[in-house]
Amino acid sequence: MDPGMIKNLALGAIPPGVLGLVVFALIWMRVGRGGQELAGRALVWRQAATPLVLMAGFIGTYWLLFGAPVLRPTRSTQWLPVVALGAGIAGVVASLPRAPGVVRWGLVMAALLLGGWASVKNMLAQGGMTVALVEHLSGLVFGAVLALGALWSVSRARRGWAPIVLLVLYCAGVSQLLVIGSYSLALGQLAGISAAVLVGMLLVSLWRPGITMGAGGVAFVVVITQVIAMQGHLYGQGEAELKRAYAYIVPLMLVAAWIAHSALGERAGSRRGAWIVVATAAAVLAIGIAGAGAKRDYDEKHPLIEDDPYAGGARFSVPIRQVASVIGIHRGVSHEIGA
Amino acid sequence: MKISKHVWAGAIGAVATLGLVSVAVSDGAGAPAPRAVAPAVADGAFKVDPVHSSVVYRVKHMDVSYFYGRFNKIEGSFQVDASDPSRNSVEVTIATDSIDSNSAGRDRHLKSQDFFSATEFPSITFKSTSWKKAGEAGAAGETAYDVVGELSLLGKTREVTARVTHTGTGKGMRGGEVGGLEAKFTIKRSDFGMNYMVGKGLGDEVTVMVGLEGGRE
Repeated sequence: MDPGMIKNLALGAIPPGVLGLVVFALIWMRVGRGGQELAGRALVWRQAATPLVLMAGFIGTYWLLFGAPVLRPTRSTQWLPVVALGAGIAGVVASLPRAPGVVRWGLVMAALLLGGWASVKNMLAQGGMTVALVEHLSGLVFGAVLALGALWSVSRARRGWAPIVLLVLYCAGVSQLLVIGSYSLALGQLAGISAAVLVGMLLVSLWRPGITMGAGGVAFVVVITQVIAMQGHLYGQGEAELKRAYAYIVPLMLVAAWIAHSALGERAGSRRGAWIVVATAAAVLAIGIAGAGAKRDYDEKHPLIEDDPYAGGARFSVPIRQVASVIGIHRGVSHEIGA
Repeated sequence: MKISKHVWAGAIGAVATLGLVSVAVSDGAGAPAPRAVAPAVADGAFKVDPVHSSVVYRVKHMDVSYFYGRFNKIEGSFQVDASDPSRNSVEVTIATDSIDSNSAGRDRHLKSQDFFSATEFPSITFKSTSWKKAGEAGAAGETAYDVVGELSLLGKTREVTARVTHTGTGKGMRGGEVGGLEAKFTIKRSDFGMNYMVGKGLGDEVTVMVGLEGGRE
């Protein structure tokens, strides 16, 4: 792989991961390991810390990857630090134990709609509100409501690593699908920043299992990830069919995790219950990504270039397509692999 | 109580999934089709002949070599008056999604949000604002100018200075009058917000070379 690309990937993953690890470890040591027994300011501080760390991780890593956020954004991706700021504020309010539900939901939706408006702004300037834009904005809101419903439900019922892993799968799934379906490595990396911060938090949760995810952290991750996913869907260069397919995968993963969580009932809080929920989500995501990878129209290797990096997918596509054919995902796969 | 919460969340999930499915199914070709607006051609100006015009760019790769690519769709017009450069003008629109780097996969990457965001910004435009005869002479029969103009890329407009050479005027294959210009200028892509991989193997400075042939309207 291109050394510049490796440097870029490392910048997008290591600093936010270290930030998550260090800050959450410090918070845990400073505020103590008590969860619900914490009261007053200490509880508020620890609950609000999660969206704040996620926000700082996102904006800081954006800065490392793309330079300082601009005061007057023109392209949709330049709005992402602003959306992150809005999502961070909404996340902090969502963390407050006494905040009314209407305020929590209202701020989360406001941050989401800010992201939606920033994403379609340039398209509105070109041709006004079109059916396609209405569909994309509706998808943004529906997807966010689904993700918030499923992830809040699981994170309220569970402590420790399981809700964090579920959120990591959610961000990483969107990230991977953006790379496959939109051809934008930058958007994929941006979606992966939250996953990196959460991995740091995950390591702390393994050390101190009583750690809770909290509604604020979920709100931040869902808002920023849904907006990035929408931008990838709206402006990505993948085939329309593939984009349509990948719109299903992460929602299906969330629904599967929620069904597993609900079916477990009282056993939901057990260690085995946590494994079942996470394994269900991971399995649905893995199958979905394999299917999306199989459907991608991999570019032919350049006839004159021995090691064409842009035909790299072809090296992996045959095994992926073979797996996909076994599970019946890819139509006409046998023809394509010459079997 | 727990069950009712789950049911509530499930109901939201089911509705949202239905919504997503309907969005996905009715998505059609995805994003709305981008529009590139061709500039109007003034009386007496030369209308750019896209078949005999070229836009080539070069950028440094891995800090060791220059990579050249091109754009295949170009429209516009120009006017050259050797006796009065203040009457000269050039206006060009390039279709962003016509980028051609000799690799289909790389073209898709270049059209993505990492670089040109071709769906969001379907065109790149240049419009001259002032012309001045260059001090040094061009080749025989050619006149060189320093041309200041506004380049719009990724929603940002920046002033750039190009060395523009009037390369000739004569009779075309169909008998009409044809004229030619060649332009060369260098920009920093980061000035336009194209920051991806700057300093990480892909240069910031991009040199653009344009060869225009136009027929008199």
